[in-house]
Amino acid sequence: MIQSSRVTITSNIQGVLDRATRRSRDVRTALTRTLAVGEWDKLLRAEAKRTLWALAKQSEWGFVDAFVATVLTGPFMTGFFARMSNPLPPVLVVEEFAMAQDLQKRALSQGTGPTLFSDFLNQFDQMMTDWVANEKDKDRRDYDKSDEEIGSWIGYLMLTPDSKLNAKRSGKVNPVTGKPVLSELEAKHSLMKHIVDYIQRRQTEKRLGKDQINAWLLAVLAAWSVLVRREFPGRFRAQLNVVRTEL
Amino acid sequence: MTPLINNAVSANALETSVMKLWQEFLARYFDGGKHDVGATPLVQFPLAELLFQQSAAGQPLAASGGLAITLVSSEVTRRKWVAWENYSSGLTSGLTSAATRQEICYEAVAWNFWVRANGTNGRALCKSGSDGLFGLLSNKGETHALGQKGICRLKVHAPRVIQETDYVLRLVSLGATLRYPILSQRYVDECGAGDLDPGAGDGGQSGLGAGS
Repeated sequence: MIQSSRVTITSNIQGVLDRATRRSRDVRTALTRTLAVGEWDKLLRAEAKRTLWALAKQSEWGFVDAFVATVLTGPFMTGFFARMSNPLPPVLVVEEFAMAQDLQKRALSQGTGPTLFSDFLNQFDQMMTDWVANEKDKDRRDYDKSDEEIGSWIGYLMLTPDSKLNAKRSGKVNPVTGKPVLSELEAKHSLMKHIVDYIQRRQTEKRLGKDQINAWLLAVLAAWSVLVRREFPGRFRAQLNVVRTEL
Repeated sequence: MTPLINNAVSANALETSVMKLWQEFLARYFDGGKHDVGATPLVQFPLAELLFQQSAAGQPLAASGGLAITLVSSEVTRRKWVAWENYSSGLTSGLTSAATRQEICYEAVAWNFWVRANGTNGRALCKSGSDGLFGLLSNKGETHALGQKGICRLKVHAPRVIQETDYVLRLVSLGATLRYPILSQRYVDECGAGDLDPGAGDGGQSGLGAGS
């Protein structure tokens, strides 16, 4: 005869929760390992190189390594970032030189100052510094000045309208030549032909066009995007398997 | 679909054999003519210069306003796996009919097709080139010829516009599986394929990955 009956209902929810927690931890660990920047860095550099080698003409192969050398990777939040930039300094052409002079003239007449085109002026100053460093016949007057100071002074002379420059000589004598020191205006006209010649020569050197530089940067970005999408799932699965087999 | 003439993918010349097959396959279509690719009417393909990896000699991009398609292997981890399969190699020396078991390697690979053009008509040319390429690689009937030679399971992604200025550039990316026999891993049985045991016999070494 049955005296009593009893039903016991238990739940394994705690076990389920524990397992879910473990899985979640595994996923985080595997993700962190998958996105470690070290291996991706090698992969992305190699992909960039392959892509650029393929897009470059033979005469442009010399630029490829310079581009790849600018690849920069590093950790970013829970993942990583990668970037590649244009390693080539901008080159001013003769038309831009004339434009810089025109801008300077307008700024002086309107009193707006050089801030609107300061980047442009910086490029010009940089080019003057390059000319001083590479081509100027320096004498003892130049020894206590840096190339940047001389370049900046010549840049000022080149861009300032003639009417704003001092046309009178100081009366000092050049210690090297023994001749009177030129006025600002005379110095400008004396240097002008060398500067224009320098700009023209730089312009005709083998350079990459802006379109082409853009195309290269965008192409590498696209190749990286395809590569990461293709590689990530397999690498993540592999890391997850490793994590799950670890004690 | 016309079968390809070049040799199938081979472990002895993996990259060369693959590139030759691609060259033959693509050159059939990108010749400036109309082709029957299962569509009515016939599909017009542009004339394109085909380039592979760093084959820069005379890379033409198109000083003449032409179209160039450059195939570049992607730097992915090349996942491999192997399997023993019945191999229809036909006759072997001294035997009229031999059933052969061969260890086959499968290898996942990826390629990027860079489609470039410039000139006044560059944008339209690049668009028709990349569209034609995407359509062709998506066409199972046409790519069957590649599959017969060991380039199979093609998975193509739609063309991506990279740049549309005077220098027009598009990307068509493709994942695929290469299938080729592992040299030395072959088992021949004169009795018939049904009795074959890949783990037995002189040539039947069953170790996975050997020779791969």
